[in-house]
Amino acid sequence: MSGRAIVVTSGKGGVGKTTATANIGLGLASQGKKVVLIDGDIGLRNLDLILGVENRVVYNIVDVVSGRCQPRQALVKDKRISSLFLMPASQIDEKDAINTDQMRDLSAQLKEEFDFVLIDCPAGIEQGFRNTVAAADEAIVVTTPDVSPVRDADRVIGLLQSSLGEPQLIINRMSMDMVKRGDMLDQQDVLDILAVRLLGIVPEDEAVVIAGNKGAPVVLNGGSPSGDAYGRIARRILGEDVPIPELNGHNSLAKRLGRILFGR
Amino acid sequence: MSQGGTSLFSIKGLKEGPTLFFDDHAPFADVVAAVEEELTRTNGFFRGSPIVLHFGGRLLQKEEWWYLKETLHREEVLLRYAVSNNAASRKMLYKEGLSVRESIPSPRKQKTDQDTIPPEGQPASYLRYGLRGGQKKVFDGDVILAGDVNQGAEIIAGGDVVVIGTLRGVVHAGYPDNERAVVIALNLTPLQLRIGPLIAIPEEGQNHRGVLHPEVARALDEQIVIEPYNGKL
Repeated sequence: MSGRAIVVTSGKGGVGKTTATANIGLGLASQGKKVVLIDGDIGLRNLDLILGVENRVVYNIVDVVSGRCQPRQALVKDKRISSLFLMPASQIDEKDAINTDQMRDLSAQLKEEFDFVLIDCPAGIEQGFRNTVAAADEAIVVTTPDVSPVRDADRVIGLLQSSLGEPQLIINRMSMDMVKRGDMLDQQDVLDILAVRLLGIVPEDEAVVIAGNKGAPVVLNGGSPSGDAYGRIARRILGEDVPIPELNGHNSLAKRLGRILFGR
Repeated sequence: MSQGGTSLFSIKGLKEGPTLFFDDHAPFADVVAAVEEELTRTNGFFRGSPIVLHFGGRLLQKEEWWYLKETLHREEVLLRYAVSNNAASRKMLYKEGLSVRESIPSPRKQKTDQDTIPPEGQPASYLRYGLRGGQKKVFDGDVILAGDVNQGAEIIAGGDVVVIGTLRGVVHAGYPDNERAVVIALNLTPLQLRIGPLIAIPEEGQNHRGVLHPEVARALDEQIVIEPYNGKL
């Protein structure tokens, strides 16, 4: 079996890469897929917290590549879905504790056992970025609809195009209220600039913050707008043709009227 | 070549007209006072012949410029253009309505029309993709890009730049001093536009949102002007 290795990246920090990785992973696992999440942010480990498995971490990715343990020993099983595993980052090592080849080998090894290898990329475009990208076959770029994350996403897409081809885009933390007031870029603005395929839009939702603090990702609690959005994203990754409901309302009468009146 | 002034500034008679070179470091108020003194002393010598102001690398404040402008007006001195090596100063002066350059064109590079009109059929470079932030491309001649040029991307071309898409980044057509170069884009909303030695910082571009609004930018009387592009130059 050879699974798909997907890197989740953004350029800018704080736009929700780790949260997206956790939720997509849980979404895919709840569809019956075998999924492993690799925390690629060596030195700044977070994915274990978001998943709420921080107390189960024994070995980490640096232990694996340096031969101190087998990959199997380092993998942490999720407490909710038995087909989801985490390969934790090291909290003490530096970002250059792993090189590109080691990361590529690890990913290839994991792909033999799992349907999906999701890699959470560190912020920035340095060694950590290069490592995680080298280990992936596809990329998902996460951005928020704000000018500086969009510019960084554009840079990252440019870098990815030479290696992994065109990535897919998730627009995170979209606030429909702010868009309606004209205070935020809307999805069309973002897509005009980035010109890549839209994988999904995740609405601004305080459930995400609560979930992150509790270590229980939103995709698990049905009914929250962001959780549902991640559920749909997971199904799209599996090839289902799921409409993007957040795109509706975009052409509502009020919006169009607003555009005519305010020239937006 | 006439020499004049004090160490605070110097006047040189260049091809483009009398050029005032200001000292980079002296307090600007002292410089203006010295200029005023010189203008009074020469008693109307500069009246009616437009001069060039060279601010060097100085970071010029708007108020300082106003002060100098007032002095020059009082002496009825006309301005040709200003030169500054400082980007912030250029931006300020441009916003103040002045024609601004990065450098004085060197006389040997003054080309005639015949030199700068590219011979018919001269091959252009063609890029079948756009440029994203952080990407920079340099071309000797004309260039055509099928795609967007995003913020943070940069194109430098010796000739024309044609963007079949939206131009949001920085473009320099006619590098280094070909003022006959033009920039054409289906949506022309660059951060900064340079043609030959001229620089323009367009007003915050309107977002046309998928509606194409082709425009052409060209140099006219040492200013960059942008006008609708309706199929011919």
